[in-house]
Amino acid sequence: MKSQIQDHARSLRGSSLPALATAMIPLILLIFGAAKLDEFVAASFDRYHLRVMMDVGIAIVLAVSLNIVNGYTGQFSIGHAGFFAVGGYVSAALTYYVTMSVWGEAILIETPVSALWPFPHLPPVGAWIFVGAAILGGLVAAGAGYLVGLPSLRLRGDYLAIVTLGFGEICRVLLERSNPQFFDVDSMREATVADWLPLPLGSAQGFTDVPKYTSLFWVYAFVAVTLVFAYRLKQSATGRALLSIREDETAAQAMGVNVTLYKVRAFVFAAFFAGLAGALYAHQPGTILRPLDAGFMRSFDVIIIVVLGGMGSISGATLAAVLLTVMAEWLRDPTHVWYLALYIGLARVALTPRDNWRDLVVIGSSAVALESCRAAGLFALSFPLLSVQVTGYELVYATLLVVFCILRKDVLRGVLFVAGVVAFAELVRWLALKYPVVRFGPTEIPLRLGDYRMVIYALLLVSVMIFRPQGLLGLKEIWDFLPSRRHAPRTAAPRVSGR
Amino acid sequence: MADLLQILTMAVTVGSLYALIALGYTMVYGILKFINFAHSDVVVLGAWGSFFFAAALLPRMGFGTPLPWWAGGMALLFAMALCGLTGFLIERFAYRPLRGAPRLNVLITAIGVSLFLQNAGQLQFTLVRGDDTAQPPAPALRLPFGTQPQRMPTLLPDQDLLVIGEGQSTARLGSLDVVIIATALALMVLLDLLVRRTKFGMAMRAVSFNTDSAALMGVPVNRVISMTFVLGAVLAAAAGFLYVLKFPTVQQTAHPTWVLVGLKAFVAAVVGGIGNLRGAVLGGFLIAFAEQFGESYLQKYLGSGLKDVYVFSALILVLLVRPTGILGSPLREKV
Repeated sequence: MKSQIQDHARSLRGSSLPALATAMIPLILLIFGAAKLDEFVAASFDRYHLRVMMDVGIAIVLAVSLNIVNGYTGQFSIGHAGFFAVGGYVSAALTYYVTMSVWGEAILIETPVSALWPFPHLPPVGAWIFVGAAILGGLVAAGAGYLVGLPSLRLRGDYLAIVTLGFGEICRVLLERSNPQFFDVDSMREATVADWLPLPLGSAQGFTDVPKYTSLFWVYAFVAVTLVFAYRLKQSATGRALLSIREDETAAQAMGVNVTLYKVRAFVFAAFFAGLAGALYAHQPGTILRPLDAGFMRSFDVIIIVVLGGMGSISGATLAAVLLTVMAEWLRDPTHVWYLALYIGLARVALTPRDNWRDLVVIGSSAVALESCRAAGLFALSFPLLSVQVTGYELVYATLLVVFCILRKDVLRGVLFVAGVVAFAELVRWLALKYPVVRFGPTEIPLRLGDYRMVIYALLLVSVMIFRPQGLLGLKEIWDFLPSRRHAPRTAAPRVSGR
Repeated sequence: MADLLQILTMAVTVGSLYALIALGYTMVYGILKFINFAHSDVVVLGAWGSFFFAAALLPRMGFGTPLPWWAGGMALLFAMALCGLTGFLIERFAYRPLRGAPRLNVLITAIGVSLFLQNAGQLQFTLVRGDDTAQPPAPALRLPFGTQPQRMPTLLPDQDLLVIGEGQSTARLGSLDVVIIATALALMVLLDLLVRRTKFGMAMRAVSFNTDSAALMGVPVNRVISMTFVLGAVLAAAAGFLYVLKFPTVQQTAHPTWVLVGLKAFVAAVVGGIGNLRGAVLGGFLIAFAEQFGESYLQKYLGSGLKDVYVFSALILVLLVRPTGILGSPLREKV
């Protein structure tokens, strides 16, 4: 009887070749895309923008990997940065000390051996050292993930979370207590056991001079691997088991899912990819790996991305990683705070069918702020998305009118609404000139808005949680929002490969 | 012997601070079942609030150095009032809209509030008139936040009450330690009386036991939750004030020392069994003892500066043996 069922199950499964193809084709396409991105974009971008693009990629790897634990399995890990740091430090130590002991100096290995390297179309030797180190770093992180996942035998919910938090903090302290690194071969050769234990990982100052192998190509190649893995995992039997644990642990157990095994697996997978992200970060130009990278503030950054994207949604996590990383950089320019408010207000007016006094307040006050910034000559005013230089007022009002006329087909209300905004803006300006106001920042520079970048970020976070608790995409993927999929069932129906 | 006494004094002093903060974590967890990560920032606000009172407000009102004898008590009350208000506002505007939302959302909101307090605390607020064209504008009142560490003015003289031993190994009990321990213990006893003997305490326990049935029995759940936050924030304010009395450098609001103090207090709450008030006190002292004794007696074998490792190892060990903390009640799963 049992073997009959097994045979039947096997016949349903289909051959593994199409499954391999469905996994490999997107992977190859994505890696090809990463190579093209590197080829075309890297040349035309300056160092800062390249750095931001790499940060985005690393954030994607981190978020999608944490999503396996937090999103798929519903376990709550707040020590993800610990795995990140373990992977980063292991891979950095490998490339640094291997390069140093072989070539006498920790440098990028590109020129010395490239003449002997027989495959001109492939990345040079040094890059493969980096990939090997990254994978080893990921494996060590996965080992750490196994250790951290084990307590899930006994602990549930918040208590497991606290253990992961403890793990991250212990990593941080141990890294802070590590020996200073060796800066040349001689000191490495002469080192005693006391210099090697605890390991020479640069103590609290951070691990410097790591060869900078990370390029746009490697970041996005790793992103591709992570995305395809996460997607295939979600479709697999293991993924279903993980999702069932999220929905109801007791019910999953009753249905024969080995809960502990799958939880530990989720931790191992997540830790491996977090380790890869750490390796990318460690070899990124312009970064120094520091013990604080294992601390819990960094873990929180990743959790924020996952929750904002929607629990378990791969595209949501990706989208949120892009949005949050770019926004944190974008808000460095003080005027952008007001643009952000303005765009949010405009988007709300455009997307919601009813008028709302809150939108009026938001648009009006941000227009005032932009206008007063311009009047004070503090900032050059430009609309970054339109790349034109206009005074704030007119364009804002024009946009509002266009929104009403085209999207709502209601000119009269548009005019009234704009009149309301103008009236409010004038009122605010009059009040601001008449009465005392609270100014932020040192008195010498009256409106240093850059200071409250993080304050704005925090407020946005809280308001997203309050007004859209399920995150940007909820449990769905981005393609579930396509018109053809609108009425598809909430969770994707099981797809049998090879049919 | 003197060494031991010295470590003991330190452990009890620091432990009473941890216990005070842990009480706030544990009360909120007991009622709302979520980890209030913004609690440690309320502690910081308490520290900065008392600093503001002692270093800016009192001199402005004409009480210069030396500060009058009642300055300490007033600074404590000021910090308590400020933090109580902040705790109320946080609950009202950040957590109440999320009542019934998934717990992860509430937690992210708590992190958001924490980030907000940390970063808002680094801004310098200056009240000026909008049409003030003087360059630079004359500050009307400058609130002393900012990114620089400040030194807390001396509010209480730290006299030696008891000195044992000589030379390298002396144990010393200062009046400051006594004041800190006494204040903390008094607040804990008051809280315990409030929770166990008053009608409000009964309401708190009812809400913590089962929110829905408490609401059905006529307990004003929202008011009780608000008051719980205020109580926790008041205790946090006291802890922040006592902390800067003991360690007079007031660091900027996002400084790692503050984050660690908050984390350790949180660990204390978990070790004692989160949701249990006496457990939080027990955990606070336990964590402080692990930290201080580990640092002094294991230094020979493991090296110095590993305080935090002892704390978190103690946490993991306790949780592995007793998954819900020492005094926590076992989790019961309902299908």
